[in-house]
Amino acid sequence: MRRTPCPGIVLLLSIALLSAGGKTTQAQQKPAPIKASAIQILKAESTEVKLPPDFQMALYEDLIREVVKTGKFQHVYRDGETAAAKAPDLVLLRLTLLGFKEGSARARQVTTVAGATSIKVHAQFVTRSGQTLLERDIEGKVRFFGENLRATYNLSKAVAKVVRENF
Amino acid sequence: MQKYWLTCAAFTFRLRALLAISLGDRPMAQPLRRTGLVSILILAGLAALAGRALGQEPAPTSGVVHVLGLPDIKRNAHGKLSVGAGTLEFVAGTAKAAVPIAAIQDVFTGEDSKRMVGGAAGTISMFAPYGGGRFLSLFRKKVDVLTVEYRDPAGGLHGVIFSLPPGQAVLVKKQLVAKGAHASIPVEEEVEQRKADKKKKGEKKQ
Repeated sequence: MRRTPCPGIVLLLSIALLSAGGKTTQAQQKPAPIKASAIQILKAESTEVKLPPDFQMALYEDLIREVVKTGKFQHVYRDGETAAAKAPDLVLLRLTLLGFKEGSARARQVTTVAGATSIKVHAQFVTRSGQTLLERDIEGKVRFFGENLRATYNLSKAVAKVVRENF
Repeated sequence: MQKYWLTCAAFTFRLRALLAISLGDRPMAQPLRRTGLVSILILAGLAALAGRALGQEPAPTSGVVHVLGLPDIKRNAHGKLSVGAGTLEFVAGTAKAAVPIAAIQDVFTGEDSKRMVGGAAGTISMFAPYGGGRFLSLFRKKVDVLTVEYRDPAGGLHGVIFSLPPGQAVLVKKQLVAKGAHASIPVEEEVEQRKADKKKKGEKKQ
């Protein structure tokens, strides 16, 4: 007499196989990390969308801080730093402002749902020759807690996450 | 003791004699001498004012918060900001940072507001029952924002943001510009622009 396999075991095995297969495909899809020993962070360009100077500088300084924290680069150069010219495999991080909405901290704290501040940028990681290595649209928001400038911190954290995943 | 009284008496006599001469006992000379005395006093006052303006540095601005940017100072550190001879200095307790005025590329002023009850207490108050935290959030104070862009000796761009008591950012910017800092937008233009923006916001609300 032949024994039929338990349907529960079959189901579990198929789920395990499927998930393993999914993992392998994910691993195959994930691109190889970009190799670079140095990065130069440029000041965000805001030609069409105007970003107040304090937000612009806060974004720039937060970005440098967060990229340094990732530990992916031996050198993190500032905009205009002359030593960057000597770095062999330098990557430039260029941010172009796509949108900015200055909310109200008072409205946010009183209503919870209104008064959000958001900054949206197009981040480009390019080589010295201008070849684009990676580009993403990234957004930073303050919804509940914190003052308006916190949006720049949240945006920098999001950029740092992209750096961690791709370098 | 006797010697002391004698000295006092002599001093009083001399003072009386001096006043009698300067104010004039004779009726004809009185108005002329008074005018002379007044003009001397005015000249002395003007000289003192000029000496203060030329010789002394402006008083440091207190109640300043370092929002971000200075490498050796912690974020949100409270201290004093002063425009010295060739440097913009911020002192917070024992920590001190200076930015050379010649290296400043741009200075901007702005306005913002912050919670009266801030920091950890402010965050905890958000969870207060019956909307107590929200009620506290209604109370905000106005602050000025001063943004300074400068380059270090290696050419790297830096940005520093300070939060100052209302009306102080414009004064600091004026002092910096007077000492040679570069500013793309003149102080007056910036103030007018802000007024226009406020007017626009008011019209939108209506």
